Amino acid sequence: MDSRIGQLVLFIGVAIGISAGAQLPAKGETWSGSAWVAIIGFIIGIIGLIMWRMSLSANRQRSDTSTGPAASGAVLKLRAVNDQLMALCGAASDMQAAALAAAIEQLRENHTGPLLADTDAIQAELGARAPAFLTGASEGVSLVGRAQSMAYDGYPDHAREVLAAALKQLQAVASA
Amino acid sequence: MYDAAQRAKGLPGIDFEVMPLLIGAIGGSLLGVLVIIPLRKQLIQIERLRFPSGTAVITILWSRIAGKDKLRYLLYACAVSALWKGLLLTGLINSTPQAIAESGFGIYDGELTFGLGLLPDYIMPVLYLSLMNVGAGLLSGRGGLPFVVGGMLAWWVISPVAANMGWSDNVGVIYGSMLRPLGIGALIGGALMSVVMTFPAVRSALKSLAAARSGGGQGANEVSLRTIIIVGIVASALLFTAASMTSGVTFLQAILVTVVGIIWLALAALIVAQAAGRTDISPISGMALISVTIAMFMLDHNVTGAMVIGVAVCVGIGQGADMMQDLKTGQGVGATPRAQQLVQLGASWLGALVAFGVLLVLWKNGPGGQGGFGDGTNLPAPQAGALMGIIDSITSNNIPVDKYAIGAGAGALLGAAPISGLGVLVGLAMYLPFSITLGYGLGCFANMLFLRRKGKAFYDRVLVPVGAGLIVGEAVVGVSHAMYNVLAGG
Repeated sequence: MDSRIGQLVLFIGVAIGISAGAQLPAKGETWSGSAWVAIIGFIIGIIGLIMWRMSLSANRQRSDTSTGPAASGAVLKLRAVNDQLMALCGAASDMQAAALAAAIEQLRENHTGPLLADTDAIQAELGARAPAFLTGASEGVSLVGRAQSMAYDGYPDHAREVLAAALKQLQAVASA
Repeated sequence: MYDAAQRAKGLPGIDFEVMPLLIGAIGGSLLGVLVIIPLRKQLIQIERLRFPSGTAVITILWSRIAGKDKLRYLLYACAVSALWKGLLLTGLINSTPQAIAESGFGIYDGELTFGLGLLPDYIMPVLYLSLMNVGAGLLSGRGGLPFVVGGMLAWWVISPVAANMGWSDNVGVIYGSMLRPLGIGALIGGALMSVVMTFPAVRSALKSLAAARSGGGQGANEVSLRTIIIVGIVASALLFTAASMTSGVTFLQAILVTVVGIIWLALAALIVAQAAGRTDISPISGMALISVTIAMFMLDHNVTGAMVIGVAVCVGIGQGADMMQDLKTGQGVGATPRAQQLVQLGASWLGALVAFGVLLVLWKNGPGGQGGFGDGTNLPAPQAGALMGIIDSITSNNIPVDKYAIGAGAGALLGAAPISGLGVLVGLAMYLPFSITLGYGLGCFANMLFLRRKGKAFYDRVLVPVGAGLIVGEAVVGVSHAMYNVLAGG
């Protein structure tokens, strides 16, 4: 079932329910004469919500059986980021602060930035595993940001330490 | 203001006591910071909400590193936004309300009316001319769309239905008596459902905070659960003290109002954090109205006691929304959340103290040497007028229960959808004037258009600094103008 049908039914139901609920009750009454229409609208909305959730669940199951969790796009992306980060950690020992800051900027723009850009896709793909993935990866990405701040402020040694910590964090998420 | 209105009617006024309000505000400020701490992971790391102002600060902080192009876009946008805000403030392009009513076109009070007499007033053809608002939409993009859809639902579906069914075609009635209370209900229903939907994540965040006590686990970079509990007890005691110091409040009422006030504050903080995270707009006034309504019921219509709880909740949720923006900035630049949280806990109460000082000065000796707020003074305080209206409707038993209930039903239904924060966003859009939603929507649509045509790199390189610049430029001019007004005495 297409999830868009469920979405449409939900929104039509809510629109009917809330529009009917806008009528002002007569003086001294608590409920307006159209309140029963609002209830029917909400029942339609609940049916739409169930349809939407069922179609998402079916899509997730299909994706799990066809590709398997090991081939998850988000994890593959993270592994690619880790490869780049490992290469930078290796090269960082010879870099001056300014060069290190510029290299981390490249890493952020091209790799760590896009990694978590589409949260909806990650959640749809990983399902119940998504919160742990997003939380762990966010911690690692934030550490990369800290490393860049340190490098730019003229503390390359600290930046290298934080980069190593970021790599460790992101590798732990990728292998979880 | 309420006191003056009561005395003008020949009724006894209310006992205005500063200390309970001040103590309540300090307790509220601490609670506001505390309730936000377990939500950080959910809203910033899992849902990755934009928090446009926080993103703008990240862009400013990174601008020295990010290269000349980004800095240039940031400064250009900042200058354009500042000049535009300055132009609006001069009033040079303003029309008169009469001219706008006749022609259906013109600018007044920062809003453009464009109905031209062809579009009916009840579909609200008005655009808020704030580039800061457009900038927030530009940074939010597709994530802000539910807010825009909520505004369209309110003004292009519900309002025409109300007008064509003969319920009312008066914009004031449609907005004030239908959409606004429905929106408040939807905000509450959406937030309650959010609590249910995000409960596993919040529980996991609390567990990791508990792990921080021993210095291990992922929560080690946040304040420990023990600190939260200790500060929570202190803040609760302050709120209880404030309530029990208020004349006419019994011991049992003080306990009840403290417990319910804290629960409501936590829920309201979640609503405001979600709204600010997606739109940069905080529905604090709506939450204040609900706080006062709840407290009035529990305190047997004691207005002063309800004000104490209302002030505590307002200060708390304001702190919470502000802190979430700071935590977003911290996440971007790699700050340690624990350090940020400790600083906020240590300093948040100062804001309440300063704000009370300023209010007292204005109360005793406002612009032109005149004191007081409300009609007939130099400080009309329109939000206080709205709150006074709510108090009047509660004392006369005229609460729109049906609107709150139906709004809550719609909010809960949308909140259960697989798009996080949907109920809160739709409720917010119904609660706010459509002119704001429309301006924000223009930013969202521009973001989506550019993203489709120019790609993600263009978004990072151009749209983010431009959006940040639009926010900062208007903010700087707005704050400078307010400071000038204060220093110039009005």
